[in-house]
Amino acid sequence: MEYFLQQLINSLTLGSIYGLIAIGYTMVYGIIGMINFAHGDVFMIGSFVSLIAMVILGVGTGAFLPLALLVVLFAAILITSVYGWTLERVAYRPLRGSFRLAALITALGASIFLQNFVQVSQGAKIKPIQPVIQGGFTFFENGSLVVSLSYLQIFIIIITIILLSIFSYIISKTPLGRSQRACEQDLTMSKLLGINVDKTISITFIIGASLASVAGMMFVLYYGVIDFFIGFLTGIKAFTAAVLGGIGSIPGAVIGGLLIGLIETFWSAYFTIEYKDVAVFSILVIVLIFRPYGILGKPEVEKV
Amino acid sequence: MTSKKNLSLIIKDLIFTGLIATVLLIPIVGFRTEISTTDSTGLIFNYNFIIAFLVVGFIVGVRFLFHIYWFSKIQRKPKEDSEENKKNF
Repeated sequence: MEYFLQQLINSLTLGSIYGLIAIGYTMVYGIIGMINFAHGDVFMIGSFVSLIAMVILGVGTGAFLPLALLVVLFAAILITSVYGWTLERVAYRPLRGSFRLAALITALGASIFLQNFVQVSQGAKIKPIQPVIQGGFTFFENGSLVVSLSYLQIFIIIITIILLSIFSYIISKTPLGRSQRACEQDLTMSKLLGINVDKTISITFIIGASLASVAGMMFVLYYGVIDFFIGFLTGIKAFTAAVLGGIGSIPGAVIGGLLIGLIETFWSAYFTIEYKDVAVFSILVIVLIFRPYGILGKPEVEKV
Repeated sequence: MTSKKNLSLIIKDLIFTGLIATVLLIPIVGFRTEISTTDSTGLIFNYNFIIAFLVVGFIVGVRFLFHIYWFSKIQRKPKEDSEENKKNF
């Protein structure tokens, strides 16, 4: 039971990271109907920016850790948002009226471009960082078996909850959220009704990139090691989470992220860690076969 | 639109492009992280600001060339609703 509890805590932490990235996939798909495969690499950029900001500020060595982490968070959000905006403006907007495959191929190209850009500019070696947030609460201790909730895990879960609350408020209560929902329903009609569709799409990319950058920062803090390739696997897993929750549905993305975190962690804990990715992607296959619209997604009804 | 207005628009756009390119490139290209060989505490920087600013300059230059190309294209294109065209029609 104790082991189970510990795995549950770990899976919530991992699921929060996946959930934050999955929102970016699901929002972009909801509005322009394309899968932004470069989103995983935007997350990777976010983690690199966080790492660089941490080294500049000397996070972990100074006394003002909460303040320093806040500065790192804002720097990561700001710079990664600019990446998200530029990606949309340069790579996707010129192809908006084009056939669907063009946008998909561009997304793959953008993903490879970002990966290689970071590989060339930051080097191919892994970048380790010293643990920044240490300590936590121990609930149970019996020999080698410990059930603990670290401060870092609390930080990750709280930041995720705060961001999701802010985000839900933006989507449901603000004019921007209304525009986003309108664009999601019908892009042409939204344009006819006077909504600035280009601006709405750009802001969607900015929000997605911001959430990915927060996930990137949490990834650096949690695992303590990154490289230029982390965006690929994490991005595909977050995409699996978006599909599992129902692509286009924001609560679905969060639920999907938590479920993927749960499956990955429990598989690693109770079966074999080598096959954890196989387990996650098997879920993707099973979902696509039996419930392609996901847990909270709605099946597409073709009007005659 | 007068050429003076065009010029000011081009300059504004080039400044904006330069600013965006700087924000994109300085953190990732300028601050190259390396594992410290002398200090066991973690990472150190290998600064590459010259390369970063060269790339920013290159991007601004390319954008400027695009502007010249578009401008010359507009100049060559006859105005669709000009009085002369209407008369000919």
